[in-house]
Amino acid sequence: MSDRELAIDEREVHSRSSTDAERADAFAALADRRLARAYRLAAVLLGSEVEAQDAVQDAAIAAWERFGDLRDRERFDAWFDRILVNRCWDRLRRRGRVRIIELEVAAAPALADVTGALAEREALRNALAGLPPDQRLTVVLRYYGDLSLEEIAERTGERLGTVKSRLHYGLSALRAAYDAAGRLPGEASR
Amino acid sequence: MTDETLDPRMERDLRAVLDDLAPADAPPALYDFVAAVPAVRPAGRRVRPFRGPRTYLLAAAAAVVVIAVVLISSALLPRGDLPAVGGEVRPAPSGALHLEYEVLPVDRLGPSIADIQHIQDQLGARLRAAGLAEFRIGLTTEGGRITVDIPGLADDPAVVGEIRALLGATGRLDFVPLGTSPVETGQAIDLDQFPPLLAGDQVADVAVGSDQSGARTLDFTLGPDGASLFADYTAAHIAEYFAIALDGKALSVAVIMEAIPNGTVQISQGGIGGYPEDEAQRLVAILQSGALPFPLREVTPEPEGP
Repeated sequence: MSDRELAIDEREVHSRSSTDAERADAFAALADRRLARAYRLAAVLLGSEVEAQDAVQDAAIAAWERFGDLRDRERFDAWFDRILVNRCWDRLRRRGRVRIIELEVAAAPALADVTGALAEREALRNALAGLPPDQRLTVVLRYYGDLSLEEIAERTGERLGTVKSRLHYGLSALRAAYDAAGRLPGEASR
Repeated sequence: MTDETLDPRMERDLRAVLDDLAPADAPPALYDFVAAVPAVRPAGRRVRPFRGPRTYLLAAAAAVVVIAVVLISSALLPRGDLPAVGGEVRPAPSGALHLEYEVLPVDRLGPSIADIQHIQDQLGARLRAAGLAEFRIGLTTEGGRITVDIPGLADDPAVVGEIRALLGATGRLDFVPLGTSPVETGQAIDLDQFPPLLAGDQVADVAVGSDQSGARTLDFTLGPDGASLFADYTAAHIAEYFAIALDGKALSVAVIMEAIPNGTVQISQGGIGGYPEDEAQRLVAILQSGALPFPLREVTPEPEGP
């Protein structure tokens, strides 16, 4: 990616007069700089690079159409993320019925360390894929996007209480799968 | 509710799982696309919102798509001989599906006998592609209606519906540039307003395929003239919309991400798994048999009363 990283003086971008060509250049530069991170986030949210490309394209078009509404270009990253997260959310919801993963409650004997670690991650992967869209979105934004709960609320346009609730249920499902796959039963943290 | 925390080991594992899902970087084509957006789309132009699945043209790797028609499972009929074409209509045995079609004129010209025989061959090809081997395609002595009889299917409404969809479609395929006006999948496209760039006669092959995520796709291979035309067009219209239309309705609407130099076009449908299997099979069967030269209208008579 190194040859694509542009050094942008944001104050310079911000203070340019808004002729059409300069506005187009500013958008292209800001979007280009954000693109890798946006694409990676979309791919993790959607679990598919193909869908991530679609979502990023949608978001880029929508963002350009609304670029005139963005008063403070220093907020471009968060603003673009919000558009992207909404596109990803639409796609997740449109997938229809969520795959239900049967969780086997282990009465199993102790597994070897290595096997245990792999099995736990596998269990997390499966459980993540089986989460309903709202919980998946919240878990990914928290543990991949490293956003605070307040930031997640802002990106998704949801109330903070809703975000907390979705995170709680998502993590509960993941924890159940994780613990079932691990050697020791139910090491839940509260 | 206090902030939810995780056991450190689980948090580490969860972060590792999520990082695994993340690709290294966006593909170069996506960078090009984003760079082209301001040039193609004047700011402030409203786009009608999509409600249907979004599909995209993906440049396939240089490999040529090999036809691999996958048969519909569960047809449970043995392989048989070609049906007699143009023969008499005999009473269908009980349990057989009987369909009749009128062949409609085009520009006030009706079909010749050769045209009708060609259509019968095409319908036969579609049924064989769908995994059926025992069927009879005939012609009524009065009225010149095409008849189709398939034993053993009358009882299954889902299969009957599939067969109707398979046989009733004209199968006219068009590649339609849409400029900056997207349409939704399934929407009718005015081909006068949006003249097609290519028609189905430029398609050399179509097959069921799969994309990187394993979702089911339709893979088209254009013949040399079509491929060249398509390459020039896509190179000059990046970030514009494009539709593949079947019988005048958008089968797939896409945004041109990059020039497609080798005439291989893959369309996918949003959602887990891509196209449902029966739909993909049906589309391939229809497209491989080619567009019917004259459209059909089903005129199956009502069965006799009880």
